[in-house]
Amino acid sequence: MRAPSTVLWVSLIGAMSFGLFQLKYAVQDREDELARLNRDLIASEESIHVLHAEWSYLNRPERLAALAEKHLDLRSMEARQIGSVAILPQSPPSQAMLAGLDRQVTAP
Amino acid sequence: MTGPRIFADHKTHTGVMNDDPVSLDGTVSRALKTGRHRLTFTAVLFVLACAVIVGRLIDLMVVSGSFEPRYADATPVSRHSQFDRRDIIDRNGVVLATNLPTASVYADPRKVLDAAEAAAKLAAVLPQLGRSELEAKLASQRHFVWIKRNLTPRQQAAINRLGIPGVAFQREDRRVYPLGRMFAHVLGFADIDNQGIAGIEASFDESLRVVRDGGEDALRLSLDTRFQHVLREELARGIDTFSALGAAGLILDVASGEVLAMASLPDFDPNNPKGRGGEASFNRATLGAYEMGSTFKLLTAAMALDYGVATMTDAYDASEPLRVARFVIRDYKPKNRWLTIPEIIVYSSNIGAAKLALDVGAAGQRDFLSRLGLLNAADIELPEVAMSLVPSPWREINTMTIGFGHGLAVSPLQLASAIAAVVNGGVFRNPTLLARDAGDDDLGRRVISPVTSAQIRALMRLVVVEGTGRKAVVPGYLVGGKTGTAEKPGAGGYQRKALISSFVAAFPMDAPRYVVMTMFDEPHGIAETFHYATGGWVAAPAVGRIIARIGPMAGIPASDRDDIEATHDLLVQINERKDEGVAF
Repeated sequence: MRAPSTVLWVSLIGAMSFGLFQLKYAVQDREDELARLNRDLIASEESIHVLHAEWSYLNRPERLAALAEKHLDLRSMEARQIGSVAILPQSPPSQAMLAGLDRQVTAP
Repeated sequence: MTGPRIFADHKTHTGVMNDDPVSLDGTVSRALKTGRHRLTFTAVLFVLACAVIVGRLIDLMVVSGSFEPRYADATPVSRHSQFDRRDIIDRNGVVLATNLPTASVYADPRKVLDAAEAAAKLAAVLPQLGRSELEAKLASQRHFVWIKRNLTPRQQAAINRLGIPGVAFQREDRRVYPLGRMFAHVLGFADIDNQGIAGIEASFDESLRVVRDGGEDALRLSLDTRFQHVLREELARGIDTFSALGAAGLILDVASGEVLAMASLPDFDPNNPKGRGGEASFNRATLGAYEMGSTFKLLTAAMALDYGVATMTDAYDASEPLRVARFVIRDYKPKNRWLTIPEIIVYSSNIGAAKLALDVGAAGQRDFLSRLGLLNAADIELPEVAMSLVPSPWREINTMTIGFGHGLAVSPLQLASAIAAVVNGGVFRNPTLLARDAGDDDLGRRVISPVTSAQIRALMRLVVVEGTGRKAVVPGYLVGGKTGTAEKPGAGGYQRKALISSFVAAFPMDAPRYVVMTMFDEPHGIAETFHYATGGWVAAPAVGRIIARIGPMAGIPASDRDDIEATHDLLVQINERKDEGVAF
C-alpha cells in the first residue's frame, strides 16, 4: 500500500519535473529565436531605411533629367498632349470629325 | 530505526513480559516516544515540502494562471529599428529628410595606455584631426571624449583594425537630406545632436523627435518634388541670365492653400554643416519683406471693385503726374489720358492705382489688406517669417503708394497667398506646408465676392494677353498674371538700378488651380531684353516656363484658345489697346 503510492508520487514528481524543464528549455529556445528574429528584423528595417534614402538620392530630379536626356529619345510633355476620356467621341468618328482632328494634329 | 530493534531485543530477553511496550521502564518509553514524535515531525515537514514542490509543479504544468497570457501579450514580441528623428516626406512620399545609422568613435582616456602612440595611429587614419589635439584629448583625465562623430564605414573599419584599447564606437544616427539643396530653406536642418535648427526641422522639432515604433511614420508635407525642381531650375536660369543677386519662387494650390513648391536662391547644402548659415540660408520667400510694386494693383482693383467704389468701366484721369505734398506719382510709361480699371491694370498705371486706393480710403484699405493677411507675419509652419513693414501712421500718401505696391513690404509668400485668395473665388486660406488630406478642408475666410474674383481673373488674363505679362504666355494654358517692378530702398531714397522684379500668375484662368510666383532680386537687363530688367522681362518668362512644365505634370489639359465657353468670362472691354507699345 505504501510502496505503490510512493512510486506513484515519485514518478509523478519526476515526470512533472522533466516536463517542466523541457518546457523551460523550449521557452528559452523560443526566446533565443525571437531575439534572433528581432535582430534580423531590425537589420532588415535599417537596410530598408537606408535603401529608401538611397532611392530618394538616386531619383534626384536633376539626375533623372540628365539620364533621360542621355539615354531616352523622349521630350517633355506638352499641354496639348493631355486629354480626358470625356473628350473622346462616343460613336465611331465621322469623316468631318476626322478631318477636324487632322487639322488639329497637323497644326503646330 | 532504533525502535523495532529495542522491541525485538526486549522480547527475546524477557519472554514473560509480552508485547506491551508500555509496560517498559519509563525512561525507555519516553525516549521511544520522543523518537516517534521527531520522526513524525520530520516526515510531516518532508511531506509538506514535497507537497509544496508538487503543488508548484502542478501549478506550473497543469493550472494556467490568468496572468500568463496578459504577461505574454504585454511584452512586445517584435522590436523595430529606432532612429532619433522621424522622416520627412513630400506629398508623393519622396523622402526629403531621413536618419541614417552611422558610427561615432569615442575614447575613455583613462583606459588608453599610450596617448602619444594612439594619437599617432588615429591621426594616420583620420588625417583631418590634428595629432597634437588628439594627444591632448587622449591624455586628459576624463572618462569620455568624442574623437570623431559620424564615421564612414571605411573609417570605422580602419579604426577598428588599429585595435587601440580604450577606443570604442557608438552607434548614432545622422540626419541626411537625400535631395541636397532642393528643399534647403523649407526643411532647414538638424544639427549633429539631431536638434532641429531651422525650417520645418525646427518648427516640428518636438514632433519629429517623438520616435514611434514601426518606423514608417513620417511627416508628410504639401510640397511636390517635381514642382520644386522645375521652380528651382527656372529661378536659377533667371539668375544666370540676368546676373541677379537672388530669387524666390512659390507654387501654391489655390483651393487648399498648400505650398507645392517654395524656393529661394542662393541656397545651401543642408548635408554640409559648414555651408549653413550666412546669406545663403536666408529664405527670401518667407523671411524677406519686399515692396512688391505693381502686383499690388490687382489687390487695389479687387478692393475697389468689391467695395463697390468703382466698376470695371469707371475711368480715372491719368493724364498728368499726381502731386501729393512733396511727392510726385508718375507712370512708368505714361498714357497721358483717362484710363478705365482694366487699362490701369494692363498698362500698370501708378496714378490710376493711387486714385483708386484713395477712393477706397485708408481705413477700408487697411481692413482689406489685413483680411488678406498682408499686415501681419505670414501664418505658416516655419520659424523664418517676416513681419510686414507697415507704415505708421498710415497717411493718405501711404494709402496712395500702397495702392501701387510701395510703402508696404511683405514677403513673397504673403503676396502669393493673397493672390490665391483673390483668384480662387474670393476665399483666403492660410498657406500651409503640411499635406492636406481630402476632406480636411480649411474653410478659410471670404475676402471678396465670387463676382469680383471673376473680374480679377479677367484682368490678370488681360495682362498676359495684352499687357506687361505677354512673356508669360504658354501655348495651351490660359495664364493670367501681373508684373511687378519695384526699386529697392537704399540710402537716401529708392535706387533706380536696384530692382525687385516679380511676376505673380495663376492658371488655368477659367478655373485656377495654381498660383505661381517668381521674384528676382536686382536683375540686370541684357541685350535680348533691351536692357530692361523689369518684372515683365525677367520674372514673367520664368513663370511661363514653369507653367509650361508643371501643367502637364499636374495633368491639366490644354484649353482650346477658340473655346468660347472657357474664355468668354475672361473677356474684358478695353477701349484702345493697340497703341504705342506697352511697358514690360
